[in-house]
Amino acid sequence: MPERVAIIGAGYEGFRPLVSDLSTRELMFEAASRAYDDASVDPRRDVGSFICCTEDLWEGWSITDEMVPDQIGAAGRPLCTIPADAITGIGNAAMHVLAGVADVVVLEAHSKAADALSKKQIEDLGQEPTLMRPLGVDTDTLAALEMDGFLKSTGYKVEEVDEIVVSSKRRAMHNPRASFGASLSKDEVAHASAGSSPLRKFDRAPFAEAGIVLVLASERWARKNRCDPVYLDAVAWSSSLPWFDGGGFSAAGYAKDSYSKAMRRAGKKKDLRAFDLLEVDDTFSYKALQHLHSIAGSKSETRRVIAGAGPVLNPSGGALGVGNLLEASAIHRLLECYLQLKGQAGPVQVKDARTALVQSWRGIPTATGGVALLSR
Amino acid sequence: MSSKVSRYPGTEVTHDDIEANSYLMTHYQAELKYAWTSGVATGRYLKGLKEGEIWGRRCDGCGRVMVPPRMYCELCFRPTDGWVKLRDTGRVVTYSIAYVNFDASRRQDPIIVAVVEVDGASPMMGILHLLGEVDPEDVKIGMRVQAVWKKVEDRSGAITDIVHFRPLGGR
Repeated sequence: MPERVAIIGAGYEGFRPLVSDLSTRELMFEAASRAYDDASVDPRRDVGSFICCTEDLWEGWSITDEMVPDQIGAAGRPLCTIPADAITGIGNAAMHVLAGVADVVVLEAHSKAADALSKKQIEDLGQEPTLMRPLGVDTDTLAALEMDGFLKSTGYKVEEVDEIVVSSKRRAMHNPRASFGASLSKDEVAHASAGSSPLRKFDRAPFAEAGIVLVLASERWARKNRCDPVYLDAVAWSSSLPWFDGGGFSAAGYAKDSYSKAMRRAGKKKDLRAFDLLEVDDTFSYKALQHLHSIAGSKSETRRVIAGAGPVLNPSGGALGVGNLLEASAIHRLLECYLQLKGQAGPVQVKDARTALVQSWRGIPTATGGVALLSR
Repeated sequence: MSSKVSRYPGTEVTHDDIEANSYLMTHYQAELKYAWTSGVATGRYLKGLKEGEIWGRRCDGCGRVMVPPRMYCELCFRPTDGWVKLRDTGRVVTYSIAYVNFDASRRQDPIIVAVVEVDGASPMMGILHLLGEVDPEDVKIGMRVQAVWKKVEDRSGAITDIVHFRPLGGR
C-alpha cells in the first residue's frame, strides 16, 4: 500500500468580513503559529517545504513570493507560491511529501479581500480581453447565464437552489468561523433582488478574510512522531472547458474529472455514501447544486444528499455562510473537514465523522477545480 | 550579434502605426485600487513617524532590534517582545544615484536613494529612503546621516514624513 499523506496540524485566524487589526503578514503569522502548535512542529527545524497559495492581483503587489516567508517561518527555507486555489496547493504539498522532497510540508492560504477595493475590476480581468471584456459584461452576469443554463438543461428548480441558500445560512448560524449566518425563509431568498436574473442577492457568497495553515507530513514521519493525523487519501484537480466555450451547463467537468481521479487514486468506487460529510464549493448557490450533481452523477443522488439522506452537505455553512475566501477557499473546506474528523468542529460537529470529501472551484469565470478525500 | 543586423525580415510596426490605429488592437486599462491594512507593527511605526519618532521591535530570542518593526521574528519564529525607540540618525550602508523615476522616465537631476542603518537597531537593519542636502559625489558608504522631518502640521503618518536623510551636522 503506498504511503499516505497526513495532515498533522491546522491553524487559523480571522474569519470576519474585515480583519482590521492585523496586516496580511500578521494574519498569516497568527494562523501559522497556531498550526505549528497544533502539529507540535518547529517550522525552523522540522519543515522541509512551504507552499503559499496567493494571487498577486488580490494582494495588490506583484511577485508576492518575497512577502511570504518571514511570517510563516520560511525565511531562508524552500518556499514557493502558487497562484491558484489551495486545492491545487494541497496537491502540490502532497507531491512534495510523496516524492520525498520533504517529510513535513506547510500549506498556507489567506484572504484579505477587503484590502482590494476594486474586486469587480479584478474579476473582470479574468475575462478574455479581446472578445469578452469589450462587451462590458459583469462577471456576476456570467454566473447568471450559467445558472440559467444549468437549471434549464438539467431540470433542477430554482426552489432547490433556494433550499441550499436557506440551509447554508442556517448552518452558518452555529459555526464560529461563519460571518454570514442567517435564518432566512425560502420566500425571502426567492424574492430577493436580482442583479442579473436569475441570480439574486443571496446567491453569491460575500467576501470574508482569514488566514489558514495546514501542516502535512509523510505517514512514516507522522507515526514516528506520534501525531494524531487526518489522512489525505487522494487529491486531484482539473481544468475543463468553460460553459461559454463548449463545456456545457449541466455538469462542471473539472469537478466530475477530479472526483473520478481522486476516487480511483484512493481505490474507492464512486459512491458518495462512502463519506460522512461533503464540503462543496458554493461560491454561488447554484454552483453547489451543479458541483454536487457533477460528483453525484444523477439528480436522484443529488436530491438524496440535499434531503439529508446521505453525507451531510456543507456543515460549515459553506461559502454562502462563511464567506468567499478567494484562494483560501479550498483550505477553508479542508480545515472544516480536519476539525470534523478530529471531533473538534464544535457546534457544527457531524456525529462520528470519519470520512470527508472536499470539492473546490477557483471561481468565476474559471473552469478549474479539484477534489480531496480525507479520512481518520 | 544583433548589432550587426541593420534590418530584420518582416514588416516593422512603428510607434506611428500604433498611434494611427493602423493595426487591429485591443486596449484595456485596469484601474485597481487597494487599501492595505497596516496592522499592529506598521500602524505603530507610521504613528511614530507622524510624531517625529522612529520605532523598532525587540526580539528577546535573538536579541535583534528590527526596523521597520514587525510583530514576529523571522529567524526565531516567535512574537517579538517590545517596542524600542530609535534615534533618527544612522549610517549609509548602500546608495544609488538614480537618473530614472518610478515610471522609468529620465530625470535631469538625480535622486540619491540609500539604505540607512538606523542607530539603535541591529546591524543591517535599515530604512530605504532618500538622501538630500548632499552632492552625489560626496556620498560615501558609512556616511553618518540624520532624518530631516516634515513640519509637524504637514505629517500624515507616512514614510514620507521624513523628507530625506542629510549628512549629520549639515553640509
